[in-house]
Amino acid sequence: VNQLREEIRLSTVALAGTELLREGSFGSLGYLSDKRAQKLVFIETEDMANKITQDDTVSCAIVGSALADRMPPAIGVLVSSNPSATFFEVHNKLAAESHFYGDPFKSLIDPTANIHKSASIAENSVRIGRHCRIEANAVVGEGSVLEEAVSIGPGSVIGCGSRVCLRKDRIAHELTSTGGVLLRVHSEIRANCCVSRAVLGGDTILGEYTMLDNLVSVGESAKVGRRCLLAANCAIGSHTHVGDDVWIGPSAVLMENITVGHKAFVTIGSVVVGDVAEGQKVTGNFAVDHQKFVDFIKRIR
Amino acid sequence: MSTTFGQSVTSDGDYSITRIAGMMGNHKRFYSMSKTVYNLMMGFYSWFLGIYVEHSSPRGRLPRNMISQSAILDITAHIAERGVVVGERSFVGPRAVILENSVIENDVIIGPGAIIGGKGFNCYRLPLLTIPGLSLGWVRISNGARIGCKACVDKGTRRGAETRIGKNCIVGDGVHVGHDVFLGEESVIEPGAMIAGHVVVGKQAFIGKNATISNSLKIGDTARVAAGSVVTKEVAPGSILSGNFAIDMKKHMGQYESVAKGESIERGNQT
Repeated sequence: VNQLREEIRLSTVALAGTELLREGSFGSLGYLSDKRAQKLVFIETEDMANKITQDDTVSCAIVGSALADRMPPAIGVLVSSNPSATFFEVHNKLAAESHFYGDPFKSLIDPTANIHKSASIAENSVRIGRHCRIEANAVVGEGSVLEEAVSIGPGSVIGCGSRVCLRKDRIAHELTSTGGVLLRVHSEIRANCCVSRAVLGGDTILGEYTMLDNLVSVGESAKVGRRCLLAANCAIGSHTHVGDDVWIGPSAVLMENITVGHKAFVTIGSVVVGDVAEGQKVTGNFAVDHQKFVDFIKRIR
Repeated sequence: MSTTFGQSVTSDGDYSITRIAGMMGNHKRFYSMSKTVYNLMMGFYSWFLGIYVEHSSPRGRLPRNMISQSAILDITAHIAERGVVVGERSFVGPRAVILENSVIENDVIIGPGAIIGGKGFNCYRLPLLTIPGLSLGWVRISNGARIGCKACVDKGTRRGAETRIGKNCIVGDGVHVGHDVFLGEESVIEPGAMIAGHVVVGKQAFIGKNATISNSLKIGDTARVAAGSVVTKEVAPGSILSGNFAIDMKKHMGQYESVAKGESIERGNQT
């Protein structure tokens, strides 16, 4: 689903109120942290402008007029007074008016899949593989792909359109969700979970044999590796990458845009705001190394 | 079962899988083993028994539903086809799901979207494989309990084990009650709280909003756990806890005040 098929010239998306400084073409939209080739990004701060010079995956940028001359010569530049708002407008326009994010197709449901009669499956763009099991009152939204033997518990919502809103100048810009959810072989989701659709194309991915307990929420474009266990009530922020064999404890929170290494251990009630190294055990709100936290707690207990 | 696993199998000569299930169910005795060995053993045990349970279709053997005439079930609520008991004057809200092996006693209110009798989250992690544990137990929701909207109550893990919500308990919205939990009479679980597996909550205990209780703990009678706490140690009866990880509330407030005044933690501790 949602294969990026074509390249778009920057001039075709130049909206009213923007100025095309240099022509270019892009194959996807993304934030600077996304690992995507040929992407269109928006640049608002000095920091972002510094990052773009080292990034060879960016092919076009929407920038404010102050930073326009700092863009590398190889990339296309669109100048706007409000880059992020323009960026999201471009996204919404592409989603509504073009085939950029792929065309909807009739849902494909394997006959061996066991789907409860009260479950709701979107009519378009859903692919359900062999021996999947979807229980009562579950919802599978557009753009979801369930590989083999995926199990979805009662009341869970897969591929809910995540309403990412950007508040800027007191206006909330709402984004259309165009990506999908990819549940790999044998992943299992228990009751009342929410897995959001990716917004700017791409997929929210749960790896093989990953299990989600009740009431887990997974943000848009989050990528969870293989054999991870996500205990009840935990939340994964959008664009977060989680490695293989990771344990995310009950009520733990992973913030947006962070990377959790393989075999990491996020304990109960942690609030993780930074990257977690491979095999590291972190605890606390905000999360620090487990041993340090335990020493601290012992001192004050 | 007082005998160990190996002894009873050899002496009784009873290899029936359900009997082994009963014996293995009392698996706390194996906790002293190294974790890897324990996970290996329980993992493969669950795997094999899981295959057995799947192929022997235990649903066919479950008793028929017993639903009282005076119970009110919403038309959009889903009740499993077998193995559910709903008592008198109980109410099951819209889009609630009640799965097999659930007993709901009299005057119970199940909120909209609540899931009763889901599988427990007991997993055995082996290299390159995670095996979900079994959920052969049941759920009992005692007289007068209230379960909030979108709450999840898991069933017991081993055969005959139960997750019990005590009399007149109030379980808030979006609460997770794990497998094999026992909630005492008149305890209150506020919205968003999470109670992990095998926890025992005493009578009239209070668990605040978004609090988290780690697994296999005992929360004493009339204890209070403040909102947002993360409890990792046993809670004595009548005590009040707060913080992440939760400590005595007075100590926590002392810490908090020293932070609010801008002192370092160490100085706050000395004074």
